[in-house]
Amino acid sequence: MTTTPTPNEARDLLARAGGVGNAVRSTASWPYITMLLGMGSCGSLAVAAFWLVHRTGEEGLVHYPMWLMLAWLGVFLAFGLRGARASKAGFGRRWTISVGLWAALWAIAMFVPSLIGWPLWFSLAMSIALLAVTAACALWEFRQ
Amino acid sequence: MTATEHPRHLLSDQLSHPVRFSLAAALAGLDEADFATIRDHLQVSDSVLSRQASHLEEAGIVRIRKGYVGKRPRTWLSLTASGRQTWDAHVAALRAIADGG
Repeated sequence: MTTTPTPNEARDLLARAGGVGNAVRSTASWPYITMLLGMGSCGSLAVAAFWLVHRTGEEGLVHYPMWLMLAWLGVFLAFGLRGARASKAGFGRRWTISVGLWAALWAIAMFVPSLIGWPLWFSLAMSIALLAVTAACALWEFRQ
Repeated sequence: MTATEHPRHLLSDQLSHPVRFSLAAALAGLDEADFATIRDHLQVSDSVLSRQASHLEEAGIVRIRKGYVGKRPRTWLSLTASGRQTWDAHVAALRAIADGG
């Protein structure tokens, strides 16, 4: 049978619950946050690299930034999956939205150049969009 | 709760134990967390956390999920839906008592 706590004991228990909850939440999701930032940075730099390759006129060089980007994505994925030890409430929904936005931007960045080539404005816009969206999603996760 | 019912009636017996209370508090803001993370935050031994987590699992408050990361086994803890309700009711009762209810 539960012993009824006094008002002071109840306040102490609430303070303890808040302290423990905040401590655990503050360490949660960091692998996911860094993974999002990594996806944004390597995607953004890869788009810039594709533009540079296009300028040289040697399309065969495009494989180098592509493979480098995939290698870095693999590194981020491995660290994220192995390093994650806790996730904040509602993480699954936020993660689906974040990765969905990144994938949509990446698909646009890869598809549109087949129609219009690699103009500078498009490369810049996609680089900035990839950085901005992933940074915003990382901030969203951080603030939960 | 009726007008005459004291908030202590909403307190959960299962959460009156200090380690079980802290475990539920730690899991309340999370989807799930691994065993080692919770153990380190609560500063208890493996055996104490394991025993109390199992107790809460039997009460339907905590879900224990075992899996692997690579070849290493890892245990994940989370509150069940009813466990979350139990925790929310417990905290609401404590707030009412703290406010002089």
